[in-house]
Amino acid sequence: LNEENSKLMSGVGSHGLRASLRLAREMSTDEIRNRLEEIIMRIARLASGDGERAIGHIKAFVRMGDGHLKISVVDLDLGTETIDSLEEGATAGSINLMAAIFGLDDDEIEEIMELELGRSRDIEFSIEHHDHEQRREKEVD
Amino acid sequence: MILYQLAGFLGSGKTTLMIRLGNELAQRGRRVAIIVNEIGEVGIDGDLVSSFGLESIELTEGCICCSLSGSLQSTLKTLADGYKPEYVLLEPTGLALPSRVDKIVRTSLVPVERSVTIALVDAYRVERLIDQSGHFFKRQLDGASVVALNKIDLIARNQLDGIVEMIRELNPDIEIVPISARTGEGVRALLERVRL
Repeated sequence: LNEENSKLMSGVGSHGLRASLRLAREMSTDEIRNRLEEIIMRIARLASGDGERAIGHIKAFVRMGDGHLKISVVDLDLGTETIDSLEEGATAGSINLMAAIFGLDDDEIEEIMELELGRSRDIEFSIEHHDHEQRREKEVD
Repeated sequence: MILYQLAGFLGSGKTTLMIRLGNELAQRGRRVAIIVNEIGEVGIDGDLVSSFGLESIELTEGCICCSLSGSLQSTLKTLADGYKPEYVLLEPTGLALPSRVDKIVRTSLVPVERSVTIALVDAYRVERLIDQSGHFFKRQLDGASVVALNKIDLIARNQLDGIVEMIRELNPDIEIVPISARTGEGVRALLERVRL
């Protein structure tokens, strides 16, 4: 065990990303919430290997216009827990998304998150890519 | 300055309890500062805290018990010199070790009148999390003032004693207060226990 890095000690990998999002068609706030919950659950299923690996936490904060949505998953059986204050009319916004899973490394989680966001058709995502070399230098620090 | 650290594993309900405590203190007219630390490069809980009308400082890009210890100390100093909060609510990442965070606070040279660590444990998932990473889970309980056994609304009442026993096996002496941060059940008892 590496006593100096609690993340390594825990056996949990994680990744966080920021993306802009845009509706590909007109959708109600209920539809938007349902679509985003489905995406988060797909990430949860894939990353946990359909429950083989324990989920640490998968969570997202979405801003659209003056409204927002927080979606959280800690267990496949419990499903999503959502705080919804979306307002009708907004067609674009942003999402901050984080996933932490036992037994996967950071890059594997990143790949799964990007794959699932890329599959979405009703809501299109444009991920802000960051400098991995810079991230690794910071981790070494 | 009185500091409450709301520690505990990922998804244990730290932010939900933080918002409840922040609102409670704000209603009493207290001067409160909230510090939230996220494990990844992007912040999520700070946005949620703000959406409930509470101001927060978000520390990202690392963990305050590891690479961001200096950031925590400088944030505490800035708060002590400027905003001068009566209370600081500190939420480390779900992968932080609370005893290490406490040490960083103690060596910050910021006058802290009282420091209380509430370790949240997810009653619904505790067995699986201990199975996955028991050593780490035990380390997260070290140095806690009290365990808030959260999410009791998601378990059957007859499971509670067994879960308490599991936690006692990891830390025999720690006091355990069952709560639901979501519904508010047991939170009053927790506040009395930690003198908030």
